[in-house]
Amino acid sequence: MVQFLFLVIAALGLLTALGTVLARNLVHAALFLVAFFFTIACQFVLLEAEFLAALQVLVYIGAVAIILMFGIMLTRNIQGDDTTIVSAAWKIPALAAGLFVFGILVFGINNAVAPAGHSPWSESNMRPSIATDAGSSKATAVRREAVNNMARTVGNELMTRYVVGFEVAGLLLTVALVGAIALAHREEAEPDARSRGEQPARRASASPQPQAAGPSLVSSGTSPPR
Amino acid sequence: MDPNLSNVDFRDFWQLAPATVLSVWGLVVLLADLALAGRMSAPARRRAIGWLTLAGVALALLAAAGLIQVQQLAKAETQGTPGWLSPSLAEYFSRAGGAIFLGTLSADLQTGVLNVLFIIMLGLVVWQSMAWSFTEDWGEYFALVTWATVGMMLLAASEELVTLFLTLETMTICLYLTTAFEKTRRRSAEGGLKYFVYGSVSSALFLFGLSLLYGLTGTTQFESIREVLASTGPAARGLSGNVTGATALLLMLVGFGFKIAAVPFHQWAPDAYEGAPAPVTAWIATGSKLASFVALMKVFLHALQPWSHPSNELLGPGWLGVIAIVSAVTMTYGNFAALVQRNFKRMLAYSSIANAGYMLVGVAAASVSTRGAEAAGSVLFYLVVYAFANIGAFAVAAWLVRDKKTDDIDDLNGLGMQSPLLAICILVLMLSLIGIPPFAGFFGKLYMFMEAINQQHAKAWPTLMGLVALGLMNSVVSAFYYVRVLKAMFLREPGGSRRLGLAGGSIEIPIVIGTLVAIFFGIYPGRLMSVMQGAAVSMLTTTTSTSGGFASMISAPSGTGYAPLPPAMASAPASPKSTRLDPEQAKKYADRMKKAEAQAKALASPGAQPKNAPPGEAKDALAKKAEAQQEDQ
Repeated sequence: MVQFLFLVIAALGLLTALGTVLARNLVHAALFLVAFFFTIACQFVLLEAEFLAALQVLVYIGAVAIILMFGIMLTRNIQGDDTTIVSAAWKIPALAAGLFVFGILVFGINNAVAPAGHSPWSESNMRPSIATDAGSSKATAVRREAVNNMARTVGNELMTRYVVGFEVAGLLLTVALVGAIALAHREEAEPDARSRGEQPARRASASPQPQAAGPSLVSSGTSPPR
Repeated sequence: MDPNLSNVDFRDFWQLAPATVLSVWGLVVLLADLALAGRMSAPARRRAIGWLTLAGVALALLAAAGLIQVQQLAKAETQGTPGWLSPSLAEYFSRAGGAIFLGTLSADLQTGVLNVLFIIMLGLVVWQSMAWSFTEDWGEYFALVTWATVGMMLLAASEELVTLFLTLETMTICLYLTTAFEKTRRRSAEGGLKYFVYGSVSSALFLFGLSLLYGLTGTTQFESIREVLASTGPAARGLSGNVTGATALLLMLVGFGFKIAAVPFHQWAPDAYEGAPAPVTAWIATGSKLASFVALMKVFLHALQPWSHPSNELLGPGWLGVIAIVSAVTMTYGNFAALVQRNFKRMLAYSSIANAGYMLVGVAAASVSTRGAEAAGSVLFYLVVYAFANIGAFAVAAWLVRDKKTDDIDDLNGLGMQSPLLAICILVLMLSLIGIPPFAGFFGKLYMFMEAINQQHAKAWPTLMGLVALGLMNSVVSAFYYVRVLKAMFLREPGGSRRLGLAGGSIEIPIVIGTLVAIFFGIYPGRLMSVMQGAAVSMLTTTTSTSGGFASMISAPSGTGYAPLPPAMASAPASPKSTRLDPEQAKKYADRMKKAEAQAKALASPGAQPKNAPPGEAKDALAKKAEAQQEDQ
């Protein structure tokens, strides 16, 4: 049953991922992406990681997708053009390479060699019962704790073991934001150059006492794109 | 708090002081730029913000050097606690260096030395950026360059796959962005886009490889991965029959190959190098390469060492064969492609690809030997020498772009007459990059190739020998394109409408420092070499040293069935001092290699005597003789 559900959800996930890549219209691509995020959340549920599934829905579908849609609404060219499409001559070799890698992965993952003394990874583990019993091994106890108190376990791992990674992820987002603004600003600068040149002058003539602070807001290097 | 939940020692944050200073300083620079934006023109802002960034670099350098100093003082203090430290900190610093944050980062000699190097290189890159106005977003530019350094420092320190990936991404995203920062040239945007597209695809594949490795071993920590893989037993070592393991390894190699620009994954390099502003190119070619090589060595030589499986079949089960092939193809392709380049930065890009090939020879050597740490140390030595020479070389490119708006090799025509001192410095840099004896580049290659030749492993020896022969032949090829630069400078008349202006401090200083490094470490290579070998020892064995309480702190993340094996089971590394080359011997080798190189050059140069023996073989024979003599001693 779980196997069947997994296959259905994985197939849906693949379809939506393909839709994201192949859709010409950016809005459609973004909607496919949201659907893909949802199938990932379903996978988390199948893996008994309900907390992560909730986070996936809240953060990715709730926040990231909305920001993405806002970003798309603000761009002028929603309909993608043909220049980004791979040329026809490369389609067949690319498809062959992709299928080859896929075949290798399917074969390899099904025949994975587990390190000696460890169980193979295809083994399925039943969810430990909520009630504690004295006979269970330490690993089961750890697993029970992780499944039943997932928010706490995740939080604890994030704030202790992975605290540097957590902080670096924050830095990474800052970097992406700063860089995106600087580069997007650049695209605005060229068509707007004339109007930006005029604006301070207009302001200066309009306001009785031209101040240094007025034009500075306009020519500031870090103002977000309008 | 639940007692069986692991907890972080908050004093660990002191070890991150340099990285913290730089991350905060990036924000300071950004805010200062915002405040100055309206009041100053772009060139004035460039200087002001540049000096502010340099102040931050100085602070970070102080933090990094101070950290090393405090650690050494605290260790030297034998009785009681020193007065200048609180007791808990004194106790913390006096413990043996090792893993911090429950084994996700390392803090030891290696990270200390690399932090200092990264900060010095950042200083040179920032200094070089102040040469001319290639952008108007100076605050963003300097902040991104600073944050890229944070990524590099933490990447070189990471001991665990999640941290490794996040820091790698932080570093490269900063570099993608700064590559596209030169507004007025379309090539910059093109280079940035290519870098980004190739980079994101390779990152995705890399992440896939990491996840497969996690699935196979059940842990993300290098040390635990090594133990799990080693526990399979020596008979089943290698990757024979393990398709998933091989796939994971190859996918990870894609990620690393992209970052170091090794051949099948190099296509981005020429365009990104040519398009990016010269200081950014310098940062891609030096800092990013150094950090990526350290991470590569940590993952392949430490975590995946049980999978290296040396065998004399070139395609034997294990990654040695793959690395050997990649290395051979990389250095040959890089050198021959560089021969036909006319653009100076593009030529340096191909030379950087070729150099990645040489360094992979050292990595291959480190994987098979009992002297892995020494071999890895020689790779680090080569990286450092190469990095400083390259920063100098890209300063030349910055000079050309600033004054002539183009950066072809022909633009250097007549520089020897115009500013002879700088031309001589560039001569030294180029000779060091070729590997001509009195300079540091020669000793880098010498140490690395000697380590490869000195391997005791009988089966892997032919492979390594072949790589070294190919490497020496390639150095001869590389001489031709570096000499073209010298020819343009000294033998041609200055031409064209625009002339190079006075270099100015921001271009002179990186060139002069690169030259001084090349000369100084060419004359005294021993000291830097021993520092680098010490760093390599701690790099490859960080958490196996069980003197502190760290081993107990390293455990598999809760929720998995795996527990780490007792550290005693991990193979003990060879002691670093036992078999190291002493300086005298090194000098002797140097002389022999010099002769060999001269002979090979005579053979390889066009129009020489009929080639009765290919150059590689001649050097082979000499090197073998050298080795035999070493064994006699």
